[in-house]
Amino acid sequence: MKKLVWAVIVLIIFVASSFAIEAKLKQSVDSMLLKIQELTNNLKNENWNYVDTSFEEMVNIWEEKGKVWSVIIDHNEIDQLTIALYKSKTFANYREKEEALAELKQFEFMVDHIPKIHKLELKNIL
Amino acid sequence: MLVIFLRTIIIYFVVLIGMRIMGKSEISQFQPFEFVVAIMIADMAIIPMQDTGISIMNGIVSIIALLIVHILISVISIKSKKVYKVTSGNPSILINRGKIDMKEMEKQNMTINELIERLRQASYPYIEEVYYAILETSGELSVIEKQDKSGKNGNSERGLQTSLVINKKIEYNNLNRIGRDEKWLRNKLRKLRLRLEDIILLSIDEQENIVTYMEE
Repeated sequence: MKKLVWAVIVLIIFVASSFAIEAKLKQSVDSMLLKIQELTNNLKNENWNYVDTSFEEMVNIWEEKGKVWSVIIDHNEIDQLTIALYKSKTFANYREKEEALAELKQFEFMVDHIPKIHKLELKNIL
Repeated sequence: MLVIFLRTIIIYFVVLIGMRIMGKSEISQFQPFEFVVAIMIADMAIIPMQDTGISIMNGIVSIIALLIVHILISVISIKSKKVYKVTSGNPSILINRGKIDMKEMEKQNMTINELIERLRQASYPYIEEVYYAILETSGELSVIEKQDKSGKNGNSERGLQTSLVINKKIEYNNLNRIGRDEKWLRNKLRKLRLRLEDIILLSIDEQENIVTYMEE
């Protein structure tokens, strides 16, 4: 009976933690998406000073968040996100607007995609 | 390399704790559903050990999920005979009073040669010495012999001990198997001044010797 009680407690903790982590991840993703959107607008308008500063901020934000996300998300996904971001930054450094926007779009898509694939939905379970 | 080394150690301890929670010391003691859990835990443990691309938490969560399911099924199996039957099955009597039951052998997909081999492994090289051979749900073969090594009558005089009451519930299948019914059992209990509600285990052998264990 003791084992059953502990099993139920652990199960409840897991379920509660999952929902909490999902909510936190969504929050984190939303704030990153806002930043990415701002960066995208600056790139489109070729505000290169803002672009350079924003990319530096973006990289710092990503380095912090990446460490936390790597606990729950596959490291391969984290690596792909990092590559996309650095590619975009490099293209921006060389003032290659279209390439930078394309890579940034990829980064945006993957960031947006992460909470969706970890959400408790039938399509993710199947 | 050190990363893989440390991940392996972490997962090893998670699996070790899991196996201790399962509570069996030998794989031969596993019921079918426990065997499934053990194999799955082993498989799930290997993947995050070797693949540093996978978060270690994913592996640990999978293992813990299996353990939780295992504990829930174990508890439900104890309470419900139907669930126990689905998860573990029933023991099969392959040799019944010295006669081989071919129907049971076929059900268990066992050939005569396999039976003889299993008996030899259980230190019964001569099949004619066997009174009962029971294939347990764990896959082990239990044997009641006709005579012990000194030539005296062994447990065959008493025959097979059958449980008629387990955890205050009447085992109707076992009652039918020994050719008795509920009325007969209740008469017996009345004569022995026993109440069904107090009985943890009541077994009877072929000499009608009754063994009871009561709730304290």
